[in-house]
Amino acid sequence: MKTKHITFLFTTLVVFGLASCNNMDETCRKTKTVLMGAKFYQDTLNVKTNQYVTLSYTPKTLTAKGVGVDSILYNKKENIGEIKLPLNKLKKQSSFSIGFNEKYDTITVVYQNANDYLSLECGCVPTHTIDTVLTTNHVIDKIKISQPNINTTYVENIKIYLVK
Amino acid sequence: MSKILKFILLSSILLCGWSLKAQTPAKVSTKSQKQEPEKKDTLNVPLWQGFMLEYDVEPLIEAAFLQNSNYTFHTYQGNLQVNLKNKYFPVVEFGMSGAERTTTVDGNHFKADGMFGKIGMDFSLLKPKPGTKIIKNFFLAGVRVGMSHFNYTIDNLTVTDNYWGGTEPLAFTQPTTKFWFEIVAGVRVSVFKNIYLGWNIRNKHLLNAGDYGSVQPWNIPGYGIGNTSAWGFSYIIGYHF
Repeated sequence: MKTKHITFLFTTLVVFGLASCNNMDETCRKTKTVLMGAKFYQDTLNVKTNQYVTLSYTPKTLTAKGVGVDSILYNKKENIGEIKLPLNKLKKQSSFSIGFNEKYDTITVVYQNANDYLSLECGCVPTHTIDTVLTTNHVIDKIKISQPNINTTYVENIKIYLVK
Repeated sequence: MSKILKFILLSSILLCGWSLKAQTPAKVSTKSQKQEPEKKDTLNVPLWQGFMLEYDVEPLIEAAFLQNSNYTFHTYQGNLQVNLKNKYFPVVEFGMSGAERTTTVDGNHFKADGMFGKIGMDFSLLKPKPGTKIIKNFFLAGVRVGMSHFNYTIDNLTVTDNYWGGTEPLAFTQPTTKFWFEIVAGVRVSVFKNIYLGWNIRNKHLLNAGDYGSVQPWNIPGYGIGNTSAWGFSYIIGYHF
């Protein structure tokens, strides 16, 4: 009987010990980066068919920054055909100054905000849904919304068409 | 976790083997014992074999090891388990639980308090051989369905915009009802007359985890931590009536 009890108690104590090793992870391993993707396009004349076709466009240099913010997102970057822009998480409108080969336009994105709860360790990540995009027309011809939902999965959200 | 599982498996096999050994007939037997109609004694067990009131002491020990200034919790849980024919063990579990935690990195704060209940059935996996002396030690496996309705608060969250600047606080306080099921296995050993000791290992699966992005409780009373599945242990002290 004594052996039986000792075996049981020993087992129990060891299991107690193992169960107590349950440590809590304090690290957030989920991405919290939310950026609006924009790609550049330009209508180009196909000389063979004499019709315009839309092709991807890559400016020689590109500059982009938020209006009212000193920090520059892209500073005369060469040969990039798409940009990732952070919308203001606390407001419903963000404006960016974008320079194509030293010629500037301002685009204004109007959107709705929502907070996706990830976990206690990670907290919330703000996501956006684009309502409209406005632009000046010095270099940019028009802007189309291709995917209004902006979240942690990066996609092309808007298409920026430059003048011919 | 894999080490814990390995240990539980090994200890279960050891205990199971030991219990089986305890129920095998003694090698030394007299002629008169051989002639007895032994099968009837062991196989015709009456339906009602009494009931057990059990208390889970694991939360008390876990609290002693894990609680600190950032994490406190309390759980009081017990169960009423009926013994039918030493084979079937319908069980009702009940308790109350609360947890409070502040993350050390961001200071995100969680607090919950509530009652919970579970209902289910255990089955004895040991089948006594004819002629054995009945020893009321059990190796059990079964299922539970659990439910908890409780209020919880998640606050001190912040949304910070590193590019545009600015910070916004967020807080959520809301009631919720959670359902889950558990697969349970464990042992009970009679240590002194009607007093039992034992343990259970539980694999829990949340049935309504909630949609992605919705605010969900970090700790659920009776279920524990985890938004899809969780492991749990119970260490039982019980009395058989």
